[in-house]
Amino acid sequence: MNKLWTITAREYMVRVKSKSFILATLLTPLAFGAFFVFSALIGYYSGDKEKTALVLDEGKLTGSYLSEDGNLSYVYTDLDAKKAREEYELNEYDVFIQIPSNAANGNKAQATYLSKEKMGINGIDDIEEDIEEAFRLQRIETSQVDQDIISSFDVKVNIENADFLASKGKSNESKLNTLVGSGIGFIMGFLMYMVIFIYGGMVMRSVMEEKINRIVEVIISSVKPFKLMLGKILGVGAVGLSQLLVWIILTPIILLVVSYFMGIDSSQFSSMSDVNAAIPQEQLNELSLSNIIMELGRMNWVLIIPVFIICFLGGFFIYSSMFAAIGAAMGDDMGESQSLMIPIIIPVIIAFSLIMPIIDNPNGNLAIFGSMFPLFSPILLPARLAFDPPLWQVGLSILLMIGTVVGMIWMTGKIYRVGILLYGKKTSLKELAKWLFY
Amino acid sequence: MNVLSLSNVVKDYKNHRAVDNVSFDMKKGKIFGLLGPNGAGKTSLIRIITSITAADSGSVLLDGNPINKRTPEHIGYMPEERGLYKKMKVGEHLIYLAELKGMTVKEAKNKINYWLDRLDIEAWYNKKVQELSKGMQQKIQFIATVLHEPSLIILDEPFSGLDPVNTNIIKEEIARLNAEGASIIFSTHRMESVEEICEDLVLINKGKVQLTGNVDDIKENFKENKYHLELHNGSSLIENQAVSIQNMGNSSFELMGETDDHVFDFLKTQINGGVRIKAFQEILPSINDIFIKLVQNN
Repeated sequence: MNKLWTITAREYMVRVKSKSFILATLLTPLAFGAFFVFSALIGYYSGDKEKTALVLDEGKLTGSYLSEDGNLSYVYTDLDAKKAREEYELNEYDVFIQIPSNAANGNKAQATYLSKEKMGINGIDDIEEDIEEAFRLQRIETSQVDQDIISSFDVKVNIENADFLASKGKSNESKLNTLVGSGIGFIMGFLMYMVIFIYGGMVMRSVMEEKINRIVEVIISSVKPFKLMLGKILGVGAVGLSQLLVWIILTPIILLVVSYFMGIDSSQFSSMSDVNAAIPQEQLNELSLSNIIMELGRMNWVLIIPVFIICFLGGFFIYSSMFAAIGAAMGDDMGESQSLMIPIIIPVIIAFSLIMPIIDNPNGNLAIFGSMFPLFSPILLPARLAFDPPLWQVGLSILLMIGTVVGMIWMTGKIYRVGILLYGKKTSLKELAKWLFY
Repeated sequence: MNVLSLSNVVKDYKNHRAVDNVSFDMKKGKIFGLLGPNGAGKTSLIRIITSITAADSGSVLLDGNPINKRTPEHIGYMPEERGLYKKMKVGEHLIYLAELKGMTVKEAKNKINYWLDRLDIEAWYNKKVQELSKGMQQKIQFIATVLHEPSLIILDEPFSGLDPVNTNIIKEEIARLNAEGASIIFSTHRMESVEEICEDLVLINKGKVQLTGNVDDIKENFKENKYHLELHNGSSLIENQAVSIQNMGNSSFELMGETDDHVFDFLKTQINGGVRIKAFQEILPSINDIFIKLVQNN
């Protein structure tokens, strides 16, 4: 026990004291903050530039319904085409739109534009939409049908989760709840995927280093190989946990500081998020920072955080012990034994690709299976957590995970013990399987 | 009293038997040679003694007790292929290895200071291992091996890669530790280096014990009654049927008789016959010769 502690402590200290660890731990939240500043700046500058379009509507097909939309304001002109164009070129207009008198043909219309700066596809789309809307309004006006009658044809349907309505009492929050839940689910699933490869890889490199520089023989003449492997996994696991904690604490602080100094208000955050085209226009208004924060506050963190940490440890132990065994089996040529990585890469990639389908249907059969199967559950259980999965499923998943951790460490310990002392031989997966029974 | 006693130790690997029914005893306080060509099973045997691997059958007694969890604390093992953590500082590295041998940090520090001082390398305490040359690292490995004052020290090719100066330093330290009571196993495939260092030895080939015992006794047993005879210039030998004579040139001869007495009688004849003799010496076989002979006979 004492020696296990000695090994764990060394593995931990050696990494925590290294410059690369300190840099990565401190710089990652800073990079996150910088990313926020950067996106806010982009939103700020791209949003700030007002443009003016000169509109020549020769047939008065849009009435005067083109006025202003976001950063673009429209000015009608009565000049003829040639003069209007001169007017556009000589004055501070950014865009010149010409709608010929014969532009409209039934439900289709053809117009042309000129722009002093090249316009992006979104800008053109926006103008098209504005003109369409103006056409519509003008046609309603000329048809003399009552605007109210027309409006009464449009029905906006909003479907809400009944349980949610009953418990929270307010409408149009459940979708945001789903959205925030999906975000959290995806971030946590993705984080687990990273954790497995970053820290698992760390364990593997460290095992290989010991084998290649042959210190391992000295160490295991003092302690059992199993203890060395376990100590290493525990030490690296503690490193990962420390790093994660620093990030969890520092990231919000840095974001808070950044948003304070930048004077970023919630509207800028919402303009950032409308990059996501999948979110209907109406919801954008709800996607303000304060609403998201409110929604985050409603999440069941008492469940999410401990379960996430359990998944972090479970996933780390399962996969890093596999990494340790493979590191022990590898010779000094990493490329030669790349095929040994297959048992790790395949399940992790499958689990990763299941994150999105499971977020879409967080309590479906696939989700239940994915969060139970121990090679997937460390990645997929966190993805489900924000959707209030049944507690018995969470409990069972954790039990299965713990059982697998124990079994996996026992199994990989056997492979490790044989591999670590074997030199100069190329090992195959078949060979590894045999070592289990040595 | 035996510090180490092996009986009928067997270790099988997938395709071959690495250790085949090995039995030998090692007396306490001796320097003991573990000899054999590359691949003879020396490392497999050492790994069993150091409890890195377990024997399939047979018994290993250390100081009369079967090897157990506390065995590592009584053994210091320096493998042939050895390494250190490159990024660690010499001091903390030695402390770590000492802790794994069951020492406290305080004890370890005292001993480390003593040894660094002794080998005149105190300045290395805070140096990173990767800053040291290979020979320097080997000194650190030697210190790590003996730091916890093991009663049995196992050195696998301790001089490989060392320059003559450092080889001598380590040799002296080995002799001193031995004089202070430590038993030492010196494993090597270079037979000639054994003769100057070891008192007893075991010779292994293909996993089997070929020979074990006191170095001088072994040589005595394997001697072929060979003598070296050198004459002063101008003298010539009186021929004799009982002894075969080989002229080595420069008035040197190699004599071989069926028994020593045949050779001594021959010598008497020469002296009585007025042959002027410059030198007469018994030629004992080298361990290398004995080994080759044994292997060929099998």
